[in-house]
Amino acid sequence: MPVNLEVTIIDTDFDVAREYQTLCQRAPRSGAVVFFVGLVRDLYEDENSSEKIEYLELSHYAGMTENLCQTIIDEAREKFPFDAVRLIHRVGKIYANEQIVMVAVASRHRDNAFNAARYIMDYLKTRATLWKKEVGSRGSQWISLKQKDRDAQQSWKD
Amino acid sequence: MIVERQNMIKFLFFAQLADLAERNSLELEYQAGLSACDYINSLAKHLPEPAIAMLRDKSIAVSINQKLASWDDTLSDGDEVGLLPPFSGG
Repeated sequence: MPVNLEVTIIDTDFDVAREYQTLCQRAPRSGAVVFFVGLVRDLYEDENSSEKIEYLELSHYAGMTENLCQTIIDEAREKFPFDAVRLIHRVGKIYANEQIVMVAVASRHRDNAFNAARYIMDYLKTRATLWKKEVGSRGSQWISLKQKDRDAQQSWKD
Repeated sequence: MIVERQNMIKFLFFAQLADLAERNSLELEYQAGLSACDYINSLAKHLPEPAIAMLRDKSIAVSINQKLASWDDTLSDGDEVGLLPPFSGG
């Protein structure tokens, strides 16, 4: 099976500088490259205490996650044509302040790169078989999707 | 082509459902014409009550052979059924 250049689910960290170089090589005619990198926050959502998140434990449905991510990417490509894309999502134990996800898009002009990256991130949160468990001073709990994430996905349909 | 009959359905549990079920998978005997929903009572015989309560509260989505599906879709012999809590990636 050929290596998937667009979607990778891994249990180790990734190197943004190297990903940037590779993406630019794959899209020599692009005039815009947009990167989004998500990091693990160390504070709880309410932020009203000194309590800290130690790490996230990410689980997923191997195979299905990659396919769902590819579907989201293909939809983004249809709506906002681009030259190259790269999506990396980590699974396993990810400590506070570490990288958890990366979406990078290269296109001729910036609008499609921004829009496609945002589209992929918004749908990734609501449609891919990934689950986060938060572990910290409040113990361990599975995280549910936030309303603002549902709203972000919905905004593409309005 | 000879299709090997496996005579079973494999259920996979994820995230909080796997925690409550205290397992990641369970195989049950295939019975023709049943949907995933029809298997809940059979699953209940093998799982702790909190896992069954979560299965019944309708927040769990279903996949069949790694494609999103409906609880009411009829299963085929050898199917892999994913029981999926609400997603929270990104």
